[in-house]
Amino acid sequence: MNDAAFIEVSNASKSYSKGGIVIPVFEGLNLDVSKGDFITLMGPSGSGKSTLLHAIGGLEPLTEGTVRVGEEQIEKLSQSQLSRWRARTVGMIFQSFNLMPSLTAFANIELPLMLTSLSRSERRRRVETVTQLVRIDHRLKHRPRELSGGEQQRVAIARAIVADPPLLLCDEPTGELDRSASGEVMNILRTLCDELAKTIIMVTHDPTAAAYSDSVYHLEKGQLSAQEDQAA
Amino acid sequence: MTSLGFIANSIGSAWIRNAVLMVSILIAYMLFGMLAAFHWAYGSIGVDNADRMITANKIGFSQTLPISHFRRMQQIEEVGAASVAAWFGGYYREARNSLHAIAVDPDSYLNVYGDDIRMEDAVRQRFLSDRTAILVGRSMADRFGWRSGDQISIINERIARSDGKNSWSFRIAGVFEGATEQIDTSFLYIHYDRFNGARAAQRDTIGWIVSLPAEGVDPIDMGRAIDRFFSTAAERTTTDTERSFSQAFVAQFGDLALVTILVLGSALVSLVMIVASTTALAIRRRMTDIGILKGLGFSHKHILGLLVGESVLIVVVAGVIGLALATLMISGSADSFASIAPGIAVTPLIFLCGLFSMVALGIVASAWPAWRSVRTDTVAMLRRN
Repeated sequence: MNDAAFIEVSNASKSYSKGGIVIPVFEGLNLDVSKGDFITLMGPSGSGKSTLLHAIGGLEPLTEGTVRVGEEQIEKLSQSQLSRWRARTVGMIFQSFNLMPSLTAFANIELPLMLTSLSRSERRRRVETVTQLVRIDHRLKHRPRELSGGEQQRVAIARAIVADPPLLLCDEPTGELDRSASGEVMNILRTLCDELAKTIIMVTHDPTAAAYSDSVYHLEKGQLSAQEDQAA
Repeated sequence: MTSLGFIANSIGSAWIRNAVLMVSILIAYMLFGMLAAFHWAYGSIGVDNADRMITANKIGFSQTLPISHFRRMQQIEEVGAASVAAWFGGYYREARNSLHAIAVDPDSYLNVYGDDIRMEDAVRQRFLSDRTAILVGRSMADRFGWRSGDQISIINERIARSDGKNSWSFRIAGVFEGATEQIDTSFLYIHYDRFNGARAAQRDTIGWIVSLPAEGVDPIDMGRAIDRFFSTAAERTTTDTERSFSQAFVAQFGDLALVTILVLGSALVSLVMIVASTTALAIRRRMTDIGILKGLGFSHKHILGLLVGESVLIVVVAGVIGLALATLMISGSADSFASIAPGIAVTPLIFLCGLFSMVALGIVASAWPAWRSVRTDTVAMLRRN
């Protein structure tokens, strides 16, 4: 066990069973991520990048192996403990934004705060703070369908950080955005890492996006390997 | 945003579907309120004196008994007090103004019903002392605008008079009130002696005998003693509680209790099906939203609460409006039901039962699809988008 690591994935294996046939995704993966690191997972489609990301977020259990985030060994948590832990610790950002279409941008961002005991005014203050940070404070009354892709992703980022989780898991956050919007989103993620010390794990196919992270890992044929000299 | 705000937003986001659903629930609970009010009023007829028993012909109460039964009944030691009555009926001016008129032995009848009907002493004396006098219930007096001292004619084509006429002239001795709201006052009483003396056929017969047990005697035991006493008579008797008798009388118009239960049961079963299928469809369409909530850290319990709460809120809001409308409609037409369901009203108990069934309906209809949805794999839900 690496005591310095904020996230420690040990001997992680994942396989699916379909029609009685076991399909392995990855086997024996190990990954350590330090607090405040911004890492990228790359690899071909179906290599298991998103599955690993979901396993770290407690959304998908591993077939074998362990995941530790901070002090929590997450495979040991019950369903309700896992929900509480996720609300406290993890902010998730998806390729397809995953905003609730019937809620305004403000209400979407406020959602995680429903799980806290914050007062109404404190919630509003928090939402205003994060929306200024991601520069979406002028579109708070709009519903997702009234926003551009870049704006929707900024709302999703604001929602992911509003409860101040230490860990952000980003699954293809620029996958549906044009170059300009992608750049804006990646700048925001970089800022969150640099200024708010968020630990970020991002899955992407886009080398330009990956260039914003501190280190890049390649997942291919079930094996994880680090790409050197990313910071340079 | 609060949980309630979240639920309200979810309802509003599919407002056409939910409005249609709410209208169907509203109509069902309006029906529930009206039928339950009727059922309650019908079941409460004449409950003030549980000791009072009715003796009628064993063949059926449309068959008469000889008045000698009344006299002989005085010999039964279990009987404390008794009186006789016979159906008179008739109508006032037009056939549509049919009357619930009963011929009674005034002195003994007012003695046996002393707890249920109230009137001034002067009214009582006028009724007792004049064979042509009638005693009118408040509801009936109000319906026809009758007052004490009025002279009225009642047409009765069913009962042949010995003089060939079909019109009976009466003077109103006064108006009586019911001791409680449930006491029917849409009746009038005439003197049995006058009725019996004027009719051409079936003289010295009565419709039924009403009795009270002697002190310390159980009314059921008294009833058994009466039926045993007349078990060898040409006209055998059956004695039952007044409530059963009243309900059997009302049931001439149809088995209302059964109809009420069948209609209510069908309405509620249909409602469960409608609400359950609509809720299941709504939840299926929102699997991505549920996945988002799970991803954000909402617990299964919390999500279940939101989904079931939404269903309960829809049913309760629509159901309460339905019951309120039923209350308005019942209070507006209470007079029309006075004779078969006196004191009809959507009572607080009906409201409470309705509210309980609304909550139960909301939970039953949504629990299973909501439970299935939270058990679905979160990643699979998010990939639906």
